[in-house]
Amino acid sequence: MIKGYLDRIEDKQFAVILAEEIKKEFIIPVKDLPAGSKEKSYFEITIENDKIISMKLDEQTTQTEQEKVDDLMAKLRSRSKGSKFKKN
Amino acid sequence: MQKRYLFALYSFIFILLLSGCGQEHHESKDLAQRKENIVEKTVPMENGETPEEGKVAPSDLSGLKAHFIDVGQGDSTLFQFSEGGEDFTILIDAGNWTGDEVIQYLRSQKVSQVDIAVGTHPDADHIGQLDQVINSFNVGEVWLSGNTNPSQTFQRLLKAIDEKKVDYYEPRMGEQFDVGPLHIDVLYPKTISEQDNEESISLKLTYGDVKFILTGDATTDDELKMLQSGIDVKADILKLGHHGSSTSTHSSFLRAVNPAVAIYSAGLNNTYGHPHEEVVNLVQNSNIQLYGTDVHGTVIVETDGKDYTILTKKDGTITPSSSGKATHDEVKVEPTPIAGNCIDINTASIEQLQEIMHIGPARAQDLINLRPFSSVDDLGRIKGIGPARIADIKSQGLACVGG
Repeated sequence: MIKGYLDRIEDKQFAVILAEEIKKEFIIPVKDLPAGSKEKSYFEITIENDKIISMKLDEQTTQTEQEKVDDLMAKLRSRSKGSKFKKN
Repeated sequence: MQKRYLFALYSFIFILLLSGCGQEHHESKDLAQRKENIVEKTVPMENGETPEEGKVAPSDLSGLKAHFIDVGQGDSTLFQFSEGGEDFTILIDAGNWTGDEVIQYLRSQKVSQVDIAVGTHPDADHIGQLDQVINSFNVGEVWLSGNTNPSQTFQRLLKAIDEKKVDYYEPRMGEQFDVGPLHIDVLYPKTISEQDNEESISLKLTYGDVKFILTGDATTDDELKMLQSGIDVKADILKLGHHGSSTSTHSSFLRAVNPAVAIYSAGLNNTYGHPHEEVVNLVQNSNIQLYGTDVHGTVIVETDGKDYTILTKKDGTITPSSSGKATHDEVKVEPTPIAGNCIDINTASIEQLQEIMHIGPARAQDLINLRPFSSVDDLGRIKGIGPARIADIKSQGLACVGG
């Protein structure tokens, strides 16, 4: 079992799942996503023969990873000095 | 004074040509319509053919190269230019997260530093290799929209910005920047909502008289909001939003931008069916030259701020896909294939000739004077038509030699 991540839904039909641990991307029909899935969700996925054969929403990981991002963004924003190219 | 006289003469010829258009009733409606479109445009701006007087193009600009890099199904555009011996590099998006094409391309172009690296929005096919760019090159500042996502790819990017102590900025609609001789207007977003992944950073880049617009994956709704903002969106070169998907390129937006050239970035035979048939048809029926990285490989626009040339890695003609896997509810624009409308350079009228890329009124007249031509390559006998322009003309696929 590895983590899968729903990066985006393209053209309302194609769910793009990143399996970042194994550097692979899977594109599946939106209708095959577990109920309650939305963009930016993490999943527990099982892959066999280069295909996702099972996936389960992992709301805990989604939340903890988003918190890490929020902390990092806050840090970057707090030290942002603007752009040196900005026209006055 | 002589210049003014010449201008008057050109204007007179130009007006004569215009008035000649309406009289040829025997031509197909489509061709006549396309002709009207080309007459309204003032590009390509060739020497001696610029119809606007008093518009002084800066003459001291050195060349700018805009590379629409072939990164498969992803996005990445590189702007390179210089002023007074100082080199400038701007990178807008950095390909898909699984690859390293962007790093390889930047190395092949001898890039050592990147002044601004823009991640238009946090999807992994746009910010994919941006962390590698920051870790491999000397990046001055990174611009992001401020929308986030919890992917490891996005987290790697944020960590790279943090660890390399790169300046961070979130540009907003209406802001203006000067990067050496290049002027940047921010078209979007005005605000971000976190819910909307498509609030892509959208930019207009102006180099002398030549303008580019890039909108990331901004949707048709976003495009309409850009129009409502009142910012002038007219541009010569439009990067089509969202890899040529029908979720972008609203017909009103395309009309307002009124580009001579449209370019999209998409991978060959991608699952999503990008570019979508409706967009290809809309663009081609608007008499806009269309280039795609799936068909042409990396597409480079070279400009001195006045004229520009399109260089492609591969030749090819974009035809609307008939096997697009996506389904569409919208009313389809009737396709009008270019094939069958080929313009015989040995017999075409002066107006018809101007539908061919790089042929303005003066070159059309030169062409007629130099007839007959044995092949499209033979157009090289015309002053100002070199191998690069012949390659463009061939990839446009309009010119032919009859017989």
